[in-house]
Amino acid sequence: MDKVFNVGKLVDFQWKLGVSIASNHSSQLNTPFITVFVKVLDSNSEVTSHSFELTIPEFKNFAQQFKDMSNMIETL
Amino acid sequence: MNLSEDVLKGIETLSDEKLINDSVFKHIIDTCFLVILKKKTESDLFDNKAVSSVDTIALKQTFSAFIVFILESMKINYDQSSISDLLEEHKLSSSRIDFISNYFKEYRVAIRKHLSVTNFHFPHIIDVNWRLDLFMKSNAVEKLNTPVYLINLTTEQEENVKGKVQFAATLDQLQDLVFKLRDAQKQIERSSIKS
Repeated sequence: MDKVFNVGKLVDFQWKLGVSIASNHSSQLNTPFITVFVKVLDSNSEVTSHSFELTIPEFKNFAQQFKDMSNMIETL
Repeated sequence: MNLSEDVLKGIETLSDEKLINDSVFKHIIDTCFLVILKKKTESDLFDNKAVSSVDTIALKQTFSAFIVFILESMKINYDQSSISDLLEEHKLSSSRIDFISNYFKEYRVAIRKHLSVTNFHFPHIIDVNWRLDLFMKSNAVEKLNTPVYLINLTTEQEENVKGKVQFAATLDQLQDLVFKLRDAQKQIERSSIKS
């Protein structure tokens, strides 16, 4: 089955919690964020890396969706 | 200023008020300057209805000749009076010379600046954005507390092609970069003093 329908495999998942302190636009940011780093083995057997940043509300939404998936699995 | 015969012929054609009337003349001059500054394209030359009465080949020759004239005179930073003298030598009327002179006055700085950054290889940095982050935790380490600078460079290549260069640097790496840039700046200052 895996050979027929391959949407890619999650190889690595890393995260970091950080706070933006300052930037060229603002000297007092103090904004928390989550950085996520994902490695995926695609259907051509190539590893691609993706990184993205989430604000706390975005992360909560992101995490909630995984919780919902987990709850669905529990019902199976 | 070394101009070829073709260029000088093209400039002389601009003096022919029967072949090129005032509205066509003004349109040619305006288009030439704006094409150099990439605010217009060559196709805009034919957008004016008045141009339809002029022979296409003559129009193109005049247009390309005047483009060369502008670029050559700006390359050596030819002054206003020298430009006027050269145009007068090639039989242009005083009103047409004044019209051209006004364009040179208006666009001299912009064209000189444009020529100084014309580049065929490396992109130019046109904007820098940075952000200082403090990483507190990760999936691997409970307490990080590592400051990291995120640098975002916006670059521009010819034809307004914009690009982005993004990288993260620790405080030490950033200081190293700053020292190297300062060193480069000192070298530039030294070489400008010598010249």
